[in-house]
Amino acid sequence: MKNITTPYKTIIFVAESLFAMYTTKNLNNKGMKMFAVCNLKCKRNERTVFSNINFSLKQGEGLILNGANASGKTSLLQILSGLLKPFSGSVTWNGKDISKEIEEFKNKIIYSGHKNGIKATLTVEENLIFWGTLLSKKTISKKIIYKALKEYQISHLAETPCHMLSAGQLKKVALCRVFISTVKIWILDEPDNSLDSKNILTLKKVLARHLRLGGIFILATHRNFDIRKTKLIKLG
Amino acid sequence: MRKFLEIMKRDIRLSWRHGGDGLISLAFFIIAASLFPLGIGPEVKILSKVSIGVIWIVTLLSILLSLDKLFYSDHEDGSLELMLTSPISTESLVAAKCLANWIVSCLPIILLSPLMASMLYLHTSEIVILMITLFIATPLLVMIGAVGSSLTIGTRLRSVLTAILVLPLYTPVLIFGTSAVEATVTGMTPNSHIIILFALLLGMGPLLIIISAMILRNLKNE
Repeated sequence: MKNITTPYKTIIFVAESLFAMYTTKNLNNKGMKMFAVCNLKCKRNERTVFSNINFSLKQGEGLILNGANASGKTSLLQILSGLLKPFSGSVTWNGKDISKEIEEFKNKIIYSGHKNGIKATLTVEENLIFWGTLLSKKTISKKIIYKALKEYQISHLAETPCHMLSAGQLKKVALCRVFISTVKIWILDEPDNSLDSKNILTLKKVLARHLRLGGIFILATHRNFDIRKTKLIKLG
Repeated sequence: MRKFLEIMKRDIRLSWRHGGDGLISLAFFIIAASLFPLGIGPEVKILSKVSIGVIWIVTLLSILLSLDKLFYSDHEDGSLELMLTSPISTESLVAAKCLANWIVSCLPIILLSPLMASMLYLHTSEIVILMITLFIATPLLVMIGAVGSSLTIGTRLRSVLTAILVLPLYTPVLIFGTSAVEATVTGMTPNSHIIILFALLLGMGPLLIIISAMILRNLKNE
């Protein structure tokens, strides 16, 4: 009996694996790439900040991180952007571990941290031209920069040196930088800080549009962002 | 390459906007070098004997002054984190910043060194060799400094710590640099010293950039 079923089993196994190969290939052809996090654990100063974080994001999906202060939101975002190494667990993009392909992964993401990375002595436009050139594949055109400035209603500040801007305006310049980049994955650490309600609506609109265009975002916030196709993880 | 140039352009522009940050090194170089004739006395014999060493040491110290702004200001306002996650290799980032720093703070020193050297009674032939050796050695000094300043980026007493770390590493460059000029004074050929300096630059330069990039990449890890 055993001898008879073995060949069949083999045939079924081969067929299954061929089918699996076909479907994954098809998925890749469609360009559906996955950002996946498995069993992530973070330790800082011998303290476990978080553990057992699992999620996966397809293109067109967003993730919102909620959590109290010091619950590890920033640490998680830094791990996801490759700045920080996790204690254990893995972060993969399209099946590849990001820590092994960090230089390639850097082409796919934009990280926007607590600090804005805006130079006070340069004007808004100069700052954005620099970051635009650094973050995009082609030469950045001023048209795109002005489109971003218009989106956040700060076109009139283009020529102003950044040390003259308020905290909210600086945040908006930082968000313009995210806007002009052409990358798929946005990793934003409390982008709604010091923004007023009107500008938060603009931010939501931009985020929703990013998802519609097949992007991914991961966002840490204390607010309740309600955007379609987003998952929510509560830390701490 | 476009990104490399953009980082350089930004750093150079920034140092000018900050009220001529780059000129601080130059000003220090001029003032410190002119203090020696005042302190030692204007005798040609003594001055011409110590002048090579004086110019070299003052150059080292003024480069040390410029190192503080190499990575620290970008670390302070968050630019460094963003640059580390942006699509440019960390090595190119370090190289671009070093080159920009060299242009802003070392090139003026090299160009002005003949003036200071002649003030300290060096002859023309020696001044030419001095300029050549400075030209080869200063990029190396900046790159050694890059390793030091990337190590001390998050620490208190940053500048002092960088100096303590970096100055001992400057000694080989100082020795070969001064002995090249010294050789010219005694009528020997300085070629071998210059070749060794050049070899140091070619051999150590890329290595130093890789090390500095490695340190920056692990900035957030404990």
